[in-house]
Amino acid sequence: MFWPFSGKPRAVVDHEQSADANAVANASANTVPNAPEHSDSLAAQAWPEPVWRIVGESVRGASHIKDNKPNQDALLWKQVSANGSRNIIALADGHGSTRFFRSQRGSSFAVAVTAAILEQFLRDIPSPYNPSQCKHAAESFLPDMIVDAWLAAVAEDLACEPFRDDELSMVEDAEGAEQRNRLMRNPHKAYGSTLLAVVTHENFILGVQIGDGEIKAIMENGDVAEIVAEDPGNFANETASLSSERPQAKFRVAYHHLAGRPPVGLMITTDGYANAIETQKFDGVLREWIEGLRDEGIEKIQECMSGVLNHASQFGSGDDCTVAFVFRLNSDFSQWPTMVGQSPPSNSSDRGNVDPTDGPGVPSPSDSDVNRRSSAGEEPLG
Amino acid sequence: MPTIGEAAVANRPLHFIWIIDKSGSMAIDGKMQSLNTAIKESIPEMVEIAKSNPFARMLIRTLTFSSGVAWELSEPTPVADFRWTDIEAEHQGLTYLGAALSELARELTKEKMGLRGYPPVLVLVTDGQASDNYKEGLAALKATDWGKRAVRIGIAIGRDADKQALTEFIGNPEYPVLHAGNPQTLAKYIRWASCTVSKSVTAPGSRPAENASPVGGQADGGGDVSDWVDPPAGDRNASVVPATSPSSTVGGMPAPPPAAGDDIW
Repeated sequence: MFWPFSGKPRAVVDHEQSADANAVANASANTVPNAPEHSDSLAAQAWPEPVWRIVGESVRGASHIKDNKPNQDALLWKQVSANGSRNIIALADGHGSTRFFRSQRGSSFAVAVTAAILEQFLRDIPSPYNPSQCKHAAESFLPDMIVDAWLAAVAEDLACEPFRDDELSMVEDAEGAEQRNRLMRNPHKAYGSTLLAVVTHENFILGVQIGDGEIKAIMENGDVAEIVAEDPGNFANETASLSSERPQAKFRVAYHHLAGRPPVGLMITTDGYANAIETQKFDGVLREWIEGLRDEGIEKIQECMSGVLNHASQFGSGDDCTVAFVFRLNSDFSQWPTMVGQSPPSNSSDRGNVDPTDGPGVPSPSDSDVNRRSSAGEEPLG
Repeated sequence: MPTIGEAAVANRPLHFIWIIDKSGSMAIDGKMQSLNTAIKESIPEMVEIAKSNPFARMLIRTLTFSSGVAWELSEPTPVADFRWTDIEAEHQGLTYLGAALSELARELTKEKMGLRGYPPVLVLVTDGQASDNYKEGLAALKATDWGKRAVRIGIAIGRDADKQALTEFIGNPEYPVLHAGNPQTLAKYIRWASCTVSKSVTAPGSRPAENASPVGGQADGGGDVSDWVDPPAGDRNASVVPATSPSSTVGGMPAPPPAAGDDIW
């Protein structure tokens, strides 16, 4: 397979500069070599190297339980570096209509191929401390690579297991003979899925998305920012998809150079959870999650996630719900907004700063720690 | 055990809007009376359907048009609280369909409707020809985010209804207007539109907006781009089904019932 990251990205070769990793990591935004004007920075102060921990869960939608359908979402994350600064998180939401009868596989393929490609991206990108080159490499190559790999996985699956008569009959019964014929002409459509992925690095956060769902950052002052801007076309149950025509053109790739203090957390969610929450309350709910991670600890929140998501599906969207949080252990909560009736943290050390070594429920990081969930109660694989 | 975000969990709204012609001709041969009866009789089933689907909150409104436009029920009202007040045809009233569609366009914005709802269901019932420029109102409606994606159903009462206008309202020539030639057929279509369609619309989960795709280029998998493009670009209504459909469903939506009895309108 051709890996463009193993060489210098085209068109930016002339701008490449060598940069000492530590020097850049401690530099302000203005001193980062070759920082492009359009580079998005999430903050603007000196910052400690982020130490991230991930929690995530995927639950079968209440309507899917009722209709005896599987969970068509998929979730996979991987801690790439031992210190927790580099991580890959991928979520996918397989389409639910009858014609997408293999979307459960499609979403699983999506997270698997994307995680592999992003890991290669982290490993092989020649200048991870050069914002313009990282951004260029991500935007230029990732959509094509992900789509190609996903289509290859689908083709392999179809070769191993062609459509069965009962699958096609189900489509014909529900949506007519013409729909069946369309599927025969474009079989990969049966695997249709969205995709949301995040890469964390000590110097940047990268978001990659096609279709609906949310990728948000929660800052230390409680503000919520978009990692990947919304696509106005993803609206009213319509979404871009890996199975769309020319899906590469519908990818949104957002590179955020960490020139200042990193966010306290990132949230990645499929539309099932976002649709279960009243829009105007969504940012507040994100802050609740962060407060839960801060006060209850990683393990406790991981334990309760399936219950929270099941409630959201049962009383909200009815859809499969998949959420991952990337929580920065060395966050400073001294600027965190104080709720009514809540005592503010007296200083950043007693409550605000979470020590990665003595915080409640902090799991030990291990390299190549892969977590994959595709339905409630399943154990991580890998 | 933390209960994160529970207070913010809510099911998704489904806006259902009746768009009723109350021009003078609706008073003839009991058309308005039949329509009032049909809608009233459909309410209990709508309530049951709403109860059986906890993931949707059906909200109903009624817009009428004749020589003017008026919201008979302007506040989106939960179906459980919905009471139909009989509409009377306006003596010598005209058919300002365009004005009605323009009024809808003002309502079906993201600002007024929010972002998390299901595609709204718009049911237009008319027996006549538009007295104004309906194309202008229709263009405005289809230019809105929600109007474009709405499930639009057109019911023609009698032979004199402007089927061309209704066809354009539906926005997909594959799916013709539902023609009600008598009270029994009208009741069947009203029940189908209010109950069956709203139930189908509220299936959770997204589907690809294929018709929003750029046109041209090589199709995925070597197929034909048109293979997967159901409705015309920019006009997403794909949910109204011809009564003559040989299949029990088209595009995932149950087909409407066949017409009943002889035409009297």
